[in-house]
Amino acid sequence: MKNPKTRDISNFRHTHPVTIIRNMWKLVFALLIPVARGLWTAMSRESFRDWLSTAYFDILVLLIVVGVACLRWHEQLFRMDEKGLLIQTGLIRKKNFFIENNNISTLISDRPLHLRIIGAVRLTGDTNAAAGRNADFDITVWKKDAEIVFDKRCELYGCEDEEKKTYKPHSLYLALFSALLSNSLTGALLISTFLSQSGAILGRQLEGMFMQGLSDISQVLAGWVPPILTFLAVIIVIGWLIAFVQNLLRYMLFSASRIKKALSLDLGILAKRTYFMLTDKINYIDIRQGMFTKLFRISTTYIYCAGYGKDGGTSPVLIPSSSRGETLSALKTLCPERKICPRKIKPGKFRNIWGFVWLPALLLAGDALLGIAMSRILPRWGAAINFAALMFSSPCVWMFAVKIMDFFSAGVGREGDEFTLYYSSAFSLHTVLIAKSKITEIQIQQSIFKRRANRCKLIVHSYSEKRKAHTLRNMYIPDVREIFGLNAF
Amino acid sequence: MEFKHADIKLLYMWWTLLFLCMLLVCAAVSIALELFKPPWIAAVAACLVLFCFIFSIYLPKRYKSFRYAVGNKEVVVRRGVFVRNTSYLPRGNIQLVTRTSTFHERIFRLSTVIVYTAGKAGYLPGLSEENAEKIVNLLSGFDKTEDL
Repeated sequence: MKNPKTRDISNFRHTHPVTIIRNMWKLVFALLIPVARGLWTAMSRESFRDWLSTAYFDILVLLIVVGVACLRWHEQLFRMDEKGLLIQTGLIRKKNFFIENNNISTLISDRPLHLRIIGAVRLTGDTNAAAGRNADFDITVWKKDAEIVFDKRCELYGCEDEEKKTYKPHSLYLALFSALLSNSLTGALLISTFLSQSGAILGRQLEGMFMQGLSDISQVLAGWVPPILTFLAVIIVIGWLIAFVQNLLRYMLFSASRIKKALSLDLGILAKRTYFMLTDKINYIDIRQGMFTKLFRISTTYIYCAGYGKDGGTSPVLIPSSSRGETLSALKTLCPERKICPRKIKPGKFRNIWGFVWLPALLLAGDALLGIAMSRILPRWGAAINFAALMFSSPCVWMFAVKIMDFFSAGVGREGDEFTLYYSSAFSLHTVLIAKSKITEIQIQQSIFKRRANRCKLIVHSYSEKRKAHTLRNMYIPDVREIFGLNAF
Repeated sequence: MEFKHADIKLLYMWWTLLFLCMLLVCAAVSIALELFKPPWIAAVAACLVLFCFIFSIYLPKRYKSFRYAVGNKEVVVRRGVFVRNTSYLPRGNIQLVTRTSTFHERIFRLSTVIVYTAGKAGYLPGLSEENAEKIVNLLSGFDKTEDL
């Protein structure tokens, strides 16, 4: 990085010219009419002069669209100084958009391959203000300008004052994290999009070849399992593999660095990304485990800060899969202000376990009863019904096991103004590290069945752009009031 | 910190709304009796039992269970008959406080104060207009008194 003092963007600058294409993209529907009409004319084999005489209006529209996109790019300016980032946009209605430096929770530099070739960088940023699914600002700038913006932020938040502490996970852990994160459905969707797009361009042969290949594989593999199930299994495996490769490319070369008041994360091979987060804007840290990862004492740590993990498909990961010891040491390096506090309140005696396992237990019982009833009503379909019941029972058993683990590990810990919440949601076990200042609501929910035991469902809402709740079951109300310092009714 | 009930007019408003709903139910029942000829005694008895339950047990319980307090550290709201919810909203994280009145609330001169924190909102319904104004001023920082 060059010395930021030698370069300055406190005067207005233009964004990258690739913005013209982005601007045109929004008006692409206007281009559809001229293209369709041109095609129709070409197909009717008229002369160029005849075509021009009919298409002159369409060409005019096309020129206007390109002209407006160019003008919009020309009018889009930005500058950054010690106070903040100012973006000026608008052709007819001018819009000045200013965000104070201290309010930008996350600044993201996105450098996919196609932008890297033309020396462009997509800069996005987010604040704690609710903005739905989009970033608060999104501009494409020259690489050198993006570097200055990042240098300025580094300068402001103590990059040079203290030594940079960096954490780089082992490649094996990155592969494990990508494997755990991979979803067959995402891969299957990617295949279907690829096939439909390639089908539109190259014809239907590729799609036919793919489907034939799949059917051949499923016929080879089919033994006692029906061919349709083998076919589905092959689709799931291929989908998972594609999602795995996609995730691996996204998170490869992951590194997290702590500077005085900020965290900087770098990730990706083909599409490189850098996230610059202010530590006081981090809402909470979530150490997540599944049933098997808990048994093998492996966890994945996520960090929740407005802007990180918002862009398509990225998870807000801080420490990809790692052992307990490595997680603790990495957390000490990256977020020393967050502490893992031992549990001070727990769900209590073993008789309270029903409050945790009732849902999977009822689902299992319902599945078994439905399976028996259906196979008696439709005896010819007995084998298929038993198979379906067995398939449905496996996630229920999984959830049952997770809830039992949750019963033995749930609770709340506190050290000063730092809280640790231990709970489960669906198939994951969470350890949430949150500061008192980031708690926006504490809700004590008590049904009529819990009144005698004076127990409750504790819901802790945390600071975020949208609603985020952490739910702990079967907590003793006086203990909850004591640990959070709440007034009694 | 003193815990308060909502204005008693809130219960009157709920009762009025219940009567209006019952009028609609009666109209629907009479049409059903005319068209489908169900056992009319059972239908009328079910409606009557439901009405009596809501009027004499559910709504007074709901009114009684609703309590709120505005302290110097937090705003506390308790509500719920079957499932009791107690919400503690830290005052330091309050982003915005607004006051709204629906059409039927305006008839009874009542207001609802909505306390927004980041990503969550707390509702204080059935407040008299003066009380609502006082809470809005207190939570917005215009009134320097710490407790209500």
